[in-house]
Amino acid sequence: MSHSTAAANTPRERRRSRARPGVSLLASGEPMVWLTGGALTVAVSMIVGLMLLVLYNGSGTFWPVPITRVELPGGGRLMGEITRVERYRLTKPLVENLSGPVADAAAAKLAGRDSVDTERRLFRVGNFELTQTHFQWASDYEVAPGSEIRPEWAILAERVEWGRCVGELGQFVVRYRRVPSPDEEDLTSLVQWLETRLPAVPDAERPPLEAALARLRELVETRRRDNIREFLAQATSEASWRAVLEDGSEVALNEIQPQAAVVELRQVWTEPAAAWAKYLEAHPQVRERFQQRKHLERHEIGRVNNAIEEARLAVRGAEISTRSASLDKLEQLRQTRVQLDAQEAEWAALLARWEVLKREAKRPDERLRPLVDAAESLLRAARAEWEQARQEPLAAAAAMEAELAKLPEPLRDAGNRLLEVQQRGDEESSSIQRTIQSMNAENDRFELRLMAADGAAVAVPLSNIVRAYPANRLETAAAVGIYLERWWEYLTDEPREANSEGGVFPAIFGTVAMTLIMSLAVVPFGVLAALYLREYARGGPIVSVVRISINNLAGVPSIVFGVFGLGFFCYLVGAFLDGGAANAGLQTWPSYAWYGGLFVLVALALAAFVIGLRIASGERARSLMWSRVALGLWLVATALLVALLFGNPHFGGFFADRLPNPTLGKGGILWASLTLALLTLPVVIVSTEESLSAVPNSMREGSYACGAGKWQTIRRIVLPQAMPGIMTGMILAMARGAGEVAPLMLVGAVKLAPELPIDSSGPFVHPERSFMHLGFHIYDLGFQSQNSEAAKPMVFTTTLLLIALVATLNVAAVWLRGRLRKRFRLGQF
Amino acid sequence: MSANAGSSPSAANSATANSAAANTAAANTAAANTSAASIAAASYASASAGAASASHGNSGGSAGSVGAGPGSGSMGKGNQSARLQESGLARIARGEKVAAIVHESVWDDEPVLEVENFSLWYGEKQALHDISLPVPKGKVTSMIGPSGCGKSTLLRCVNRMNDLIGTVRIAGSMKLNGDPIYDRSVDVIELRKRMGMVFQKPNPFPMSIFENVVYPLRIDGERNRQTLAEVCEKSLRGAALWDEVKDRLNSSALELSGGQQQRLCIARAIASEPEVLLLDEPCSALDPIATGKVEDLISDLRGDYSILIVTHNMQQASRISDYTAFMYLGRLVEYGPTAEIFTRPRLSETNDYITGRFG
Ligand SMILES: Nc1ncnc2c1ncn2[C@@H]1O[C@H](COP(=O)(O)OP(=O)(O)OP(=O)(O)O)[C@@H](O)[C@H]1O
Ligand SMILES: [Mg+2]
Repeated sequence: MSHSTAAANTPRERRRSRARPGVSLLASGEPMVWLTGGALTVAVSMIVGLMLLVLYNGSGTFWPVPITRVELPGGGRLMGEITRVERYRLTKPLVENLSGPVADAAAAKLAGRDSVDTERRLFRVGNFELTQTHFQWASDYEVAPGSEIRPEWAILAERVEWGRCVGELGQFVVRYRRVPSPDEEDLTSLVQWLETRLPAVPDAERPPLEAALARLRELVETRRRDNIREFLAQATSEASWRAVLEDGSEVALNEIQPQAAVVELRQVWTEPAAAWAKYLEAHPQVRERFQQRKHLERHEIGRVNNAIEEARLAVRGAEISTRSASLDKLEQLRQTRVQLDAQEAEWAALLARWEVLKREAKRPDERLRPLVDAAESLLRAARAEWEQARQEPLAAAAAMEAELAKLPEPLRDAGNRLLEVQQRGDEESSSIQRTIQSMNAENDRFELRLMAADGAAVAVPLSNIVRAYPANRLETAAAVGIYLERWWEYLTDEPREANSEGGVFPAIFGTVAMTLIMSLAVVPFGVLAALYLREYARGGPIVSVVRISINNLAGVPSIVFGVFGLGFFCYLVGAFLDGGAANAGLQTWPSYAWYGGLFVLVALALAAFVIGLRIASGERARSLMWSRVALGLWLVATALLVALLFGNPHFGGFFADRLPNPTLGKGGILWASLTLALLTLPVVIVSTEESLSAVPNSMREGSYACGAGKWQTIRRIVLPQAMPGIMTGMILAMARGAGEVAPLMLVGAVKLAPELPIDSSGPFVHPERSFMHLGFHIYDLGFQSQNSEAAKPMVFTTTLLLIALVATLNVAAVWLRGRLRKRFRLGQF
Repeated sequence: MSANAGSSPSAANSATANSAAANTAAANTAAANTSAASIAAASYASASAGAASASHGNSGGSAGSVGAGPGSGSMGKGNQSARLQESGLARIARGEKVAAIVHESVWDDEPVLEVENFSLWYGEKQALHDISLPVPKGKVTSMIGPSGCGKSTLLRCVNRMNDLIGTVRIAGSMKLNGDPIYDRSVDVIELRKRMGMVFQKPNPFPMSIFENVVYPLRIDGERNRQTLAEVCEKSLRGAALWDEVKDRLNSSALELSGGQQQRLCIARAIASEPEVLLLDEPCSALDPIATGKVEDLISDLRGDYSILIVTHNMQQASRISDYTAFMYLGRLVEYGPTAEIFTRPRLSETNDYITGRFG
């Protein structure tokens, strides 16, 4: 390029020089650094922001906050934790809408201006049964000046029922119920019995008996008074004791009339510190008993019921197999027997009472004699009536027993077993019930009485208190303790109060179990499919179509998978497994056609197999036609197999005895896992395929050159190298599956599952049970909760937990991947 | 190099600086091994003398082309095709069917491998044209030819490596010890077990060195650690790698250098003691010492094994092989005993190639 041309063409020169800096800047890459770095920063900061939001809101939920009390202009009071502070603009129209003392306060705040900034606070007032609300707003002008205090002994109690209770500590009460002596009870009953019997006695004989009865009443009365005196003696002379009379009135000990019928003594602590100390002493025991009782209710009674249900199902199964019915009759027989047993017990009790009376009469109390003398005739008359009453049930029982004996052998045995199990179960459960009742009675003795904000007394039985603390007296260490305790409860306990309180353990368990089952289903399946696509299938239009379809599957809305899971897994496969083809609404084949089909199936499969074998061994020319024929035969055989399976006329289902209650034919953790496995299948297939294609072909060639077969090459060379990619696919699938909610709502996730899918009863694993899921729990809390203000922090906490859980699962998978990688590098696979 | 320059009087007038540089490069490639430079010169001298005498009768222009070779080198296409107008290579390049010259003496030994009228297509593109040659048993046969002429393709056909490429189509046949290789009834896996192969690019598996070497035995289900260890040591010694890796047999093979990896692949190929060894430029990444060792190994194996080796190193071919095949653009050009190919080839084109006067 000569100098003169450059000089002649000045404009071009100038343009070039102007363009230079930009070009060099681009060339050195600086703008791209900013652009790429900026994109990353935006992405990261959004993620971090979300995490921080969740962390901030989620981790503060359980921190114990002080309790504030304010007085309102109308004379009312608010007491509770302040959960939120909000600024808003108080305007004239707003004030005009108000009325009463609040309006005055607001007008004063406005002071003639059009509008003014003001602040309002949200009090978590609790005491829902009194206030009908959990939360209440209070604007700053509403609060009477100087009335805001933090009562020293403000207590916050989390209750099993009714949510939280906020109040100042009033009293701690321990009750002692008077226990009548056995004689007193027996004789009282006898008096009642005699009162019903005496009118039937001939008039001539009655007066002495009436007199004796009066004497007996007197005797009972003295017994009772003795007992009361003894009972009152245990109350020390402290002023803290109160007595409760039959009519429910409460009197101080020194005011008791000598004749008063005291049913209960109460020891009352009114001094807050002492009351609180007593509470702390009593509460753990009460809670312990409460938990024991819950365990009894849940597990022991559940065990008894399970045994009965099992025996019932056995009868039902026998009924189905022998085509006869017996359950109704068995139930009648059982009830008759129960009735007879009760009568017998009643008679025995009556006799025992008479024995007591006779013992009394032996002492020099002649006035009771007439009763004892008349005993025989009275009892004889009663006995006759008693036997009369028994005749009908006895006959009925005998008839039913005879009928039972006529039933077919297996049904009769099952029936007898059911009766036996039922009888044993009734006995066992009534003894458990007695234990439970005594525990409840023991627990009901302790009560905490709080004073609500408006002065009303709230009595909280200790067994109803999960946790209580004096919110304004907490030191940091105690607050941390409560915080951790609440977290622990949250992680390990069951939900209360429509899920807005308590723990989420069942949801954690359900989420983890479902994710693991899903991984177990999806990973092998997806890896095999990807192996076929990448290693075995020769490229072609069909493979492309399959691959595109799989990728498209990833874009199908997840709710569609839910609908499919419900329709296919629950209503078709599940119903089929439950009760055979008829139950799933499918046509069964006639028996001869079915066996014919079976024969055809075997023939087809055999033919396809032989052709395939000959192609493989090279005997038959490897023509496209023959392999197509073999493929076609296999396809037809598979279709026939499915048709035969679902049209089997001889298959009556595994759980036919439980019908019409579905066992597998409804949402459950198994079907939910399989649905999600389907949902995440594309993720696994795509990432596995990618990692397979990332294995260089030279590796495969090297292996083949060593004389390795296809599968040996895949197993020893390809899979180990692809394993990290496969694990990555699994991790992605797990993260996707664990966070999925929509399809689960259709196939088995529920608001509250009474039982975990794995427990100590029966076959231990119950894949048919519905389950709780953290994602669904979040949805339920956030959108279905009655108490949405209280549920809001729990939403954040649960979100935090779900994220942590997914992260934990992922970290575990990453760790596993690292280990596998190390192992495969040493070629130990 | 100096000999080349000295014997080309026509070089001075037409050569630019560029073409001189290209020539240097070409010469260097031909004599990749600097220690063998003098041998290259010597063999060139004797070969060109032989070639001159052999080709005088064939074509009048070839004597002139011998003289002009180094000067025109790989430069101007027109120039080259003009020069080769009458030669077989030019006719091959035009797509004509040219019969290969196969020396009769190659049939002296019993062939282990017979290639008969073998053609191969990669999709539409034909890569091998009607190749026929016997590979004698117990001997070393080398294949030479310019890059892309189909040496690797032919080698990979012997153990049916090309089956793995979906687009490959073949015609003709190959026989191993009289048994057809391309037959439906052949168990490809058994066939491959009878051969060891070293690829052009080293491809150690991502496992330990030990596992790499004993991989063929593992495939066979060998479990005995003693046997495995013995085979491993023997093979590594054979591939001249033992001393370097004997202390780190359990570390990953990927941590080895490129040359070490290549020797590892050689060790893997000989671990199962195959009948036939297929070596595709086994020394392309090795230094002279390791190359010498591998050549020693090949010499040791001669007799027991039949070895088919692809090489771009003429000296190596002449040193170690008993027979040499020269290929060009998918066709076999000349095949005969190495001594004859290197001293008195029947075609002047062969002579041109082995003396490096043909790019
Ligand atoms: N997988 C393939 N698909 C299509 N063409 C191929 C394939 N492999 C090789 N070829 C072509 O076949 C021809 C012969 O290739 P080949 O690898 O046999 O050459 P070569 O003689 O080994 O060369 P080099 O000395 O460079 O290794 C080349 O033109 C190449 O482009
Ligand atoms: Mg090659």
